[in-house]
Amino acid sequence: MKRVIAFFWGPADPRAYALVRITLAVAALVNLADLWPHRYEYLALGGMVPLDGLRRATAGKLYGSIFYAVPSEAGVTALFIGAAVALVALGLGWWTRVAAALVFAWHLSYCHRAFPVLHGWDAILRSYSLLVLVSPSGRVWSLDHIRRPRPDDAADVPAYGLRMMQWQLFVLYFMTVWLKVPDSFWRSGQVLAYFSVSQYSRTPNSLFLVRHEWMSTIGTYLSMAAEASIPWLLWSRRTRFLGMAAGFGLHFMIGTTARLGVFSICMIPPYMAYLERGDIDWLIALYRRARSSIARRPVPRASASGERAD
Amino acid sequence: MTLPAAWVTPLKAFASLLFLGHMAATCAQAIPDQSALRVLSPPFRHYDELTGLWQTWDMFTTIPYFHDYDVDLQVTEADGNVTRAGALLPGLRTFDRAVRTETLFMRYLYDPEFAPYLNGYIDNVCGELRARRGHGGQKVVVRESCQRMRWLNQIREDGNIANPEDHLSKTFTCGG
Repeated sequence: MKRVIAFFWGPADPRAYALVRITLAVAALVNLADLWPHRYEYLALGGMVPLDGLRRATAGKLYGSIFYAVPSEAGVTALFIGAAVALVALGLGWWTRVAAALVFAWHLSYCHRAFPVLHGWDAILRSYSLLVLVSPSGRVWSLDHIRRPRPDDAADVPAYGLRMMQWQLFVLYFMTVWLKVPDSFWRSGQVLAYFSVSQYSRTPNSLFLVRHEWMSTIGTYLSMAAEASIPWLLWSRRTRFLGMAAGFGLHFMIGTTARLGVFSICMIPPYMAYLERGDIDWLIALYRRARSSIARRPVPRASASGERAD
Repeated sequence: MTLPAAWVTPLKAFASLLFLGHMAATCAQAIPDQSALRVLSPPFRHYDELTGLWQTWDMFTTIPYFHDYDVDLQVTEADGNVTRAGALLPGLRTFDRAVRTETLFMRYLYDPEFAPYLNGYIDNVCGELRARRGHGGQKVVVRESCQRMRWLNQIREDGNIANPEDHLSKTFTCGG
């Protein structure tokens, strides 16, 4: 039991929680902006997801949603605006715990009202907003800290939230690999070629990967290898940045070639949960070096002095 | 407020068990129905529902089937006059090719789990038709116009990516 307690209650850098919180807020805002033009279609009474059908399909299940009580178009718009404010507050760390509760309620509510339009990234937003709600808030990087600093804001916090977030990412990749491995198209390496000419591609009329199938094969196998190895690579400090590079590379590829940009953005917060103090210090040092090298760059005299060159 | 020192370890142990339970709930739901371990899944069902933890990671577990996808409504009046209407509600607007909306129609038309939604969707369509045309009684069919992808070797042969395919739902009758 001691080991279990140490696993969940061992020390963690509060900045890792702050990074998850901030990136989750940004990803959820992007998702909200993506949903905004369709809000009446998916969530209002006269839209395409009928409430009576929803009740019949989900009978006996404990799904809750604010949208059940607010079905009008004006009400839906008001809830969207409220959710956007809560997401900005969560990202900034302003009334963080209240904002996290509202953000969790938002994700639960739209998901439980609009089942037929949901995708994998909605599950990521739902599960991580629950975990952000029950985790230390990462106060060290927040507006709350600037307004009312506490001596222990930068002190270590328990790791339990990060552990559950890490587990969630592990389950996500494990399950997707588990389901893809038996598929004959994944095995033959043809997935990327077919995907490139499908309705989900940004360039569905380009035959490049169809004509160069060997590139599709390499790309398909690399995608599968990345998904299978990312959780393991992220776990160890020595291989963490390789795991990050593989994950971000994979999701950057998906985001740029498929009409699934929101999905790629929603995959960023889970990775933040693996960062440790040394990683964050290294990233900050990298950022500072980059900033100072930009600042040292020679600038035209006229601009530097504020005088006109002529 | 500070907890008595004697309470800290038992409380941490109890919380750790809850965390383990949450982690078990995250993965138990993914155990296949046919598995002998499926019995581990039901105890977590209500927890998954209440917390929104339910999840499936089956995106693109095989190839997509369509090169292009469009959907509209075929409306037949009592006198036999056939017209087309947009499938998006509210407003019977033209399909805008949003990924989520594509998913909605594919689920409504092919996934039995989503069958209860289709009748309600048609009810809303009939309500819009009645409001616009001043009467009900129309027969409504959801019409998918797809481009089904051909095999890679066929595409390479002549450069033709897909074949057109129309799918019609069953016919629904709007109340008068």
